[in-house]
Amino acid sequence: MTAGQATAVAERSTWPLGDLLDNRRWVRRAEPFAHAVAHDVFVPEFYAELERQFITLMAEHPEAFHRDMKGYDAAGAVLREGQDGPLGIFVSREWHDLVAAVAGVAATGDVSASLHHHGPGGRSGWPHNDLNPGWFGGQPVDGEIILAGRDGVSYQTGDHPAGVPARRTVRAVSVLFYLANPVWSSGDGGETGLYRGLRDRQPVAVVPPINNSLLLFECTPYSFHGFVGNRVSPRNSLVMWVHRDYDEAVARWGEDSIVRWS
Amino acid sequence: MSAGAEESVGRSGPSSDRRVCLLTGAGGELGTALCQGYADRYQIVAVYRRRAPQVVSQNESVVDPLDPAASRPENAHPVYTICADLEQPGQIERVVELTLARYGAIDLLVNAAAHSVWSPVIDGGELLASLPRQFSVNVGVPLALATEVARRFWLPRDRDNRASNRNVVNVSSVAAARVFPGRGQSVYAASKAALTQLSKHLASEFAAFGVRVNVLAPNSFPSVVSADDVAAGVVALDDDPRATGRVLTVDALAEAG
Repeated sequence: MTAGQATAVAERSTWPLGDLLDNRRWVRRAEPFAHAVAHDVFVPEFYAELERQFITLMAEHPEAFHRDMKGYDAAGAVLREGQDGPLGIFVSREWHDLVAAVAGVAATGDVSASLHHHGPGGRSGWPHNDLNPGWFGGQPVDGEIILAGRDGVSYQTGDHPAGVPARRTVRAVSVLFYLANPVWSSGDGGETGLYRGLRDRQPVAVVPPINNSLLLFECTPYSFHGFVGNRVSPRNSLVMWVHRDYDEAVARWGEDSIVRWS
Repeated sequence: MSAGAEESVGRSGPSSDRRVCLLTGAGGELGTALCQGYADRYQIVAVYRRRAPQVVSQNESVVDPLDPAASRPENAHPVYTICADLEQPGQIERVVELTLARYGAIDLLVNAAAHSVWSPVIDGGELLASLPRQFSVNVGVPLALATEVARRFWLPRDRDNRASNRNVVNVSSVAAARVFPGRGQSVYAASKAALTQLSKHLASEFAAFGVRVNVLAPNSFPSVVSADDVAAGVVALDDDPRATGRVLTVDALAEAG
């Protein structure tokens, strides 16, 4: 795929994943909880387009990145309806279905996605499991997705304009895709730590922020993970979730396991 | 999301005609090379202390993101990983017990776990302080593990051992017999020399019940020789039914028996 072809693909409304994925040898691991990792996710030409768009957004629209995530030392920019360019792949139905299938979950078609930037010296986060509720407006239609924020529905609280129905879901799969980072070396920090327990301080495994790689896992009461402080370099990533029906999550995990936003 | 690769497990363990290899130091360069290169030839029990080998195992499998349900040939021969600190009481017994419970036999024992501290002799107390652990990991653990396998499985099986070509490969070093000036390898080299000599004694004693014992002496890997070449040396010693009490050197310049 040439750079021109990659740009053309990025402007399409459908995403030929068979052409865009580079490495189809993703690795599932069981410890400390079930997750998948992959390197060289996209073909180099398409990855270069993703990185270019991320860097452009950071440079030209710094106001889109907000530091408002409690206990998480990063600035985030939410992907909204109509997301254009190559980053649109992460809010496509094709990507949603791929993520759900790899994790083995029945997802609703609802997606929340953000770009995250940790400046150098970012503090480590606490282990958390991402088993949070998420509110969406509208009803999913086959072949489409609904992005968080549609129709003015608050993702975290479900607050919505009068006359707009809001629908409650639970995060089903977390995806962290690492991009636009300096070359990473052991000791740089900035990994995603995977933990056995909520109160653990030492991760059992770490996933380094190597460009064009990803971490993916089903959100369960036990999917404890957290940002490992980055000592010397920024850490950039795209973070997204697909969701599952609220009642299904409650039936499986119990309502008390769903972690309320604080 | 199921993570581990699958292999049929019957009442008496996974059915296979592959030989059973108990491997220590599986998270290192050599361990990973053995697991990646020879899992189709051996049923490997891969023992690691801190870092699990990143290979297909009961905890790791390969998936095609565009067809997650499809079977993949890479998942056909998972290694069986065990996290254990073999210096701790009871851990050697546990590893041998788990291996025999799962596979019912041990055909090849590869002692590849090592601990090395390189420092000049006259340079503070670090080197002296490291001596007990270097000898414990590099000499004591291989001896204790070989002894436990012999006690639990090999001793009463003289005929089977010979028929199955059972053997031990202890991974020593060229440093056991050579001095590399300026590298601070004194204690490490002494521990490897002890392992080499110990192996020759084990070869003599284990001959009574038909188990061969050999030494692999590689140069530094992967800097001087490749981990794949060292792994091939392990397999060469396993393959040679007459080799016992032998030191096989794997070096960039020459290989000599």
